[in-house]
Amino acid sequence: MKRLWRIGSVVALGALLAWPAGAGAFQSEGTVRIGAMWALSGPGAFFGKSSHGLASLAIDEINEAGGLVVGGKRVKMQLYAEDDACNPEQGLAVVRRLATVDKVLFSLGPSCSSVAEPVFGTLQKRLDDPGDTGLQLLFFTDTATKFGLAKLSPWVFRNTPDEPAMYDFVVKYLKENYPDLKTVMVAYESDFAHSASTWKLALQPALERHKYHQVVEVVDWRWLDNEFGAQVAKLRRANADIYFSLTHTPSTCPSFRELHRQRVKPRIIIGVTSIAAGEVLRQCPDVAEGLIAPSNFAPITAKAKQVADKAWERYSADSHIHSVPAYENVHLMKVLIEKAGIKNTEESLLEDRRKVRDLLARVGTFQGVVGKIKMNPDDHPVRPRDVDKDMILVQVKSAKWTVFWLPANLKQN
Amino acid sequence: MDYYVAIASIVGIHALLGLSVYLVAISGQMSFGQQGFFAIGAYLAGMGTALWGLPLLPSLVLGALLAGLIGIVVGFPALRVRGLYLAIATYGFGEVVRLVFLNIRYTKTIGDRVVGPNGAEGFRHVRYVFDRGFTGLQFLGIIAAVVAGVAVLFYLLDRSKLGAMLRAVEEDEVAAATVGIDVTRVKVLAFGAAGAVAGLGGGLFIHFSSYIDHDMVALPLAIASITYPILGGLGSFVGPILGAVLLVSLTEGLRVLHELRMFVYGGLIIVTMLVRPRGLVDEALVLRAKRWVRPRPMPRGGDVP
Repeated sequence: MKRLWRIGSVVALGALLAWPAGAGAFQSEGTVRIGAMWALSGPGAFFGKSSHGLASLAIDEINEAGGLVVGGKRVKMQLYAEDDACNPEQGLAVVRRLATVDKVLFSLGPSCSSVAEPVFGTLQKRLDDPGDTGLQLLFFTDTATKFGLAKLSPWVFRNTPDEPAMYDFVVKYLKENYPDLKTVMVAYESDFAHSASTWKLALQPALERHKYHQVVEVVDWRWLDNEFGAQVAKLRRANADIYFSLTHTPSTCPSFRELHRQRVKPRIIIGVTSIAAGEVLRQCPDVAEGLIAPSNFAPITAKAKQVADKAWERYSADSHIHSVPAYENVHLMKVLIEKAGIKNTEESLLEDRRKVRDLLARVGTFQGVVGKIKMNPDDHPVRPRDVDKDMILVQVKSAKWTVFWLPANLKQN
Repeated sequence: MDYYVAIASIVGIHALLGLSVYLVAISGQMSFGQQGFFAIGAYLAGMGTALWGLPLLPSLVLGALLAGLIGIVVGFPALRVRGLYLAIATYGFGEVVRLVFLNIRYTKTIGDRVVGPNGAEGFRHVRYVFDRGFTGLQFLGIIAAVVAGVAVLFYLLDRSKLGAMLRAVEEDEVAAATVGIDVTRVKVLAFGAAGAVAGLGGGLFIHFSSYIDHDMVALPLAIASITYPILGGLGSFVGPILGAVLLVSLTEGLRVLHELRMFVYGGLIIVTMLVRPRGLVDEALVLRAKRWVRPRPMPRGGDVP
């Protein structure tokens, strides 16, 4: 036993000593460090790992094409990806690790809005104010979607869906195209920031604004619950025409099975934006048949198909509404870093971050995988540093995501 | 540097949570609801600085006081149940607090920010520390001072009559009562003081993170808070502090193992509990340490064999 104890102590000590894992690398060694904090373990890992895969693919493409030019020298991109496990406290440590140990130029992620809240809250709020001791680390987020997160700091930019606009469109679309479907029931995860905010800040205001549908039942559960009998019984009694299932895959699949078991058959089921990914198809394609979800991504162009295939082939990474932005962000940042005139040294890191931040704030429109994306500037009155991009409606048909509705400009492509 | 400062800050905050569970445990009670007191302290201290414009110290004291008072209120009904039943009852209290904060809305618009508890949205913009120009190291100094202050109080408690009464109640309530100890008062006092310590931790946490929501004070925090004294040991107040140091450090230190991190983390806890089933700093170790520091005096008058 004593020996076991000693071995355990040695392992623990070794791990503790291994803390400062960031190896030295900057312009002199021919690399630009980019960081990421995602949920790479735990129940949110599906999102983190797919973002990791898509970002890695973009970095591969850039590095295989010779890297990027900084100060007249070709350098490679190097990714420092850290796991926050979708845990806010781990996020608070990881953000400081990225900023001061890994010393990255900018960071992708985080995956979870619940991590983004405290992490972005600890960033500098007032640029150029030395009295504001918040961290000066640039974020270009791919996943954390909760409305209003980019307002927390001028160091935060997001390429994430505009959910209030998306659900406003969905409600309007249903009103115009399915006028006979008037009753609505809703399920959401009370403990999942994204799910709760989709209901309270996106769908509920949209339903109230359009004054057409009648909400007859709202149920909630926790995102890792696995028993839904009571809530589904309520939905069965409500028997509404439209069911908004604003839940993520871990609770969506078992709740759909319960709906099936209790023979609840709404005419239309609309999901949360995050559901439009491969996970739901792998876990419950049978009961998810017909599910419609608002999204910004579907493999509808040659480029989109190519990216999705390569990401799966190289990294088994699923291309979806949250992971594809990681790919787009890396490619955009490559262009901005080359333009920004950074020195890429340890000493110039804060100055370099600021230069890239200022360029990103002025970037305007850039090319995404599916279509054009517009980055709102710092002084946007409602959604500063968030993007506007085309919305698509996708639907599960025969265990595949298919396009249900496309905007006119994307149809032309 | 900031990274290690952040980890040390998290350790300090969690040590307070562990000490809070320890205080209840040494009075023979098992609480799964200290995260509720942590939440009360966090929300109230956050409101103090962010909404009412109070300085940090009075806000922390306010949060700790309210958490302590609610601890006393919770302490009375908790007298009726013991062991696992008490654990479930206190967990119920923690859930009630969590659900209150899930639904409570008390916000003010300050500039372009909506500040205050905002239901499921959480409580944003508690930026006292950052707006006042505190560096991470300075705030760690505040956390360290608070933990040191609480540790000194625990040290004195261990050597006081009240400490002996707490231990007596833990060992055998009936025997304690027969020697004149007011068991009810001791237990309720322990709950109240433990609530205040957890509330203090919560107050520091919200100023460290700038944000809190109901989900951050749910079951995982309850499990973590009870793990610190169990793993660290109940022999001395050093146990829960050591437990917090070890567990928080391992969570971060094992990052090099990537996806295997949490497997190894769990494995190390199991190994530790197998080797030291009563925690790292158990009663036997404390006794040995005391003998080492202060060797037993030789018996007077007798021959030394």
